[in-house]
Amino acid sequence: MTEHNLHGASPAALRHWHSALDGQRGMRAQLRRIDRPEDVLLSEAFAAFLARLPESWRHERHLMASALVASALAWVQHDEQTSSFAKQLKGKEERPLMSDMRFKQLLKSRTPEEFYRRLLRAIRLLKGQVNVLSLTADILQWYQEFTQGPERNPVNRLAVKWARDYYAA
Amino acid sequence: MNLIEDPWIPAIRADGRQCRIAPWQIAETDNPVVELAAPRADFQGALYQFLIGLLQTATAPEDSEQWSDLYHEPPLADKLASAFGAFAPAFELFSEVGKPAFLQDLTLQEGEAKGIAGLLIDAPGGKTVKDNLDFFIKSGQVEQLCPSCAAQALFTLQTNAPSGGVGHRVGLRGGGPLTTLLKPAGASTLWQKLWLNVLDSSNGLQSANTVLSADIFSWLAPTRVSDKTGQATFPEEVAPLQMYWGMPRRIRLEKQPGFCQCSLCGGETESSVSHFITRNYGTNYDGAWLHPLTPYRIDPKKEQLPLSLKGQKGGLNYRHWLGLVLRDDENGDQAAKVVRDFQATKSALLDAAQPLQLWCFGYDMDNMKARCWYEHTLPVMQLGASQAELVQQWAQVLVNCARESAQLLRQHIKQAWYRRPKDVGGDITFIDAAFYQATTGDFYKALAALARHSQNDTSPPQALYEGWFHTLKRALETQFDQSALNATPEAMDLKRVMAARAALFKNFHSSKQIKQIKPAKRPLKETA
Repeated sequence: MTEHNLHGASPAALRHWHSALDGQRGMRAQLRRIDRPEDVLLSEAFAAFLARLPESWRHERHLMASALVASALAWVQHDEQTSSFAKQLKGKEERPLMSDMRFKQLLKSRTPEEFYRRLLRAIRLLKGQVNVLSLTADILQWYQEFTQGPERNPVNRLAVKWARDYYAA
Repeated sequence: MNLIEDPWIPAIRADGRQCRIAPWQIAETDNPVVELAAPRADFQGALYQFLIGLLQTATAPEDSEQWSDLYHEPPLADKLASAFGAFAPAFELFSEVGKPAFLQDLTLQEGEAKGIAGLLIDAPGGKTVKDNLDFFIKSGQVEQLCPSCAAQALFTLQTNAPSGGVGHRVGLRGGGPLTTLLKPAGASTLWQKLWLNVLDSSNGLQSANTVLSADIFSWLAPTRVSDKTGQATFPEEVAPLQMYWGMPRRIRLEKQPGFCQCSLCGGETESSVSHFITRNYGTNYDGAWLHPLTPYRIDPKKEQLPLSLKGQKGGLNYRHWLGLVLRDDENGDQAAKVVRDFQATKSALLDAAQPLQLWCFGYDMDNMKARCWYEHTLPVMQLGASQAELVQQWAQVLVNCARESAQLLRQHIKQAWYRRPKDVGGDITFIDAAFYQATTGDFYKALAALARHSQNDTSPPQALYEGWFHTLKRALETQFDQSALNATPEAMDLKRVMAARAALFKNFHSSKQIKQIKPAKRPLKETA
């Protein structure tokens, strides 16, 4: 199993929070009923999410990434742990589940809003069957590269990791 | 100035002092000379060859026993002085036309007058200066030379002579040959550095018995001109020792009296050289010359003449090691005579604990343009004959696999970069260079291990092969990712890149060469 960089969050806590959403429809609705990721920041549901995560997730610089994770996970119906998010987008068929072009667009998103919109489209394509930890780690890395520029070592870049999973799948 | 009698060779003694010596002083044992100190790298190599040639011509040892005795204890300095002294008349740098002058045409009276910078191989030619294109090496830097530097420049040019326009002949080993000299790796005297490269007379290079022979020193007789009525000069026609004293260019230096500060060494002298005259159609060396200090590519079918190895774009790296130190069966490269002779007979007579190196140098010439001067030092192992044979075979496997990998890497990086790689030109051998660079350390470690392995085992070193397999694979990964992925994702076609990456490893694993060193699949354990 691959190690996901979850910025210190415990995998169990994340999974637990996600599966608990099933019993808390109101919370989930709050997280889903937004246009832009920052809309989620003031919600009660987001506060409950942060309460389960390390201090650093509440940090001003991290808050946007945290919001992206919370609202994206709210759309995941089932934690499908068998393969990585990017591999799931490729799917098992000859014809990829998410087309090559759409996949490239997702990679090349220029703002968090754009990324969020495209991410939801991807999750919908997967019918909500998504690897929670892989998705979380990828969102965190995307945001980090968005704010701080790409990884110095090209091999570790999100685009490259995704491409390796998607094109080699 | 007489190059046998006068102290003209810049050198360094054991205590670090710089001095000028006459050739015989290399045998002095009190505060001995340890190194030469020429003002330019190409002169340094030329001075070594001048002294090695002189030793070979005047005092070649009879057999390897005598060679070994003299390596450990040089001859008495005055004995050497008298051996060299017999040749003095051929080594006058300046004389009247009609009397011999060192490496100069005996009878040349009229010819094209050229500035002394024209002797320097890297100096811009007349057309370059006229067109104002002397961007890197400027013209007008060298106006006058002291006699010592003039002698060095003359010998350097005659030894390395590139083609110089119609009838201006190339040197005996072709233009810009590679020279390889053995050298002790640690501290040593100049005597030892030189004597390591002297062959005993069983190699057909016994000392000259008629001292002043035009068969050896071609300037003692009128030049064998090579114009329409002239002729080429084949190895059978002159003495083998002429290889050390080749004179393809017809030149006559003009000495000028008066105070001079040398443009190269900065030394102050009473006379100088600012011009020389030259003419084309000098000695045209042809046929199967095999200079003892230069490696050659030998055609296995013996249809082509041996081809001297030259300085090459990108210089040397470990893939040339076999061809320069032993032999490379892949392309027919064969180490210089002096290196092969060392492995065959001398190695056993030396203390194996003192490691040796091979000092390789030469110009990379594009016709008459000097592109680069290269100098490299490669390790030389002291191996017995049967051991050398094993190491050669095994190292050949390592080198072949590295060549294959580098070639695959270049091909697939190109595929990653371009949609239609075949349509894209350009020189991307820097990829190979980086790959060899990244694996150099591991190669020489593996080589040392091969030598140890060969001491008590004749079966192929499987564990070493596997280590090399992993080294190559790791290097392919890093080099591919660095080159193919080092751009913003927007600028890349990641699908193409990943396909190229997958193809690279697929081809690597299925390559015939690589299969020789690939670890056997272990049962029960999956290997990716």
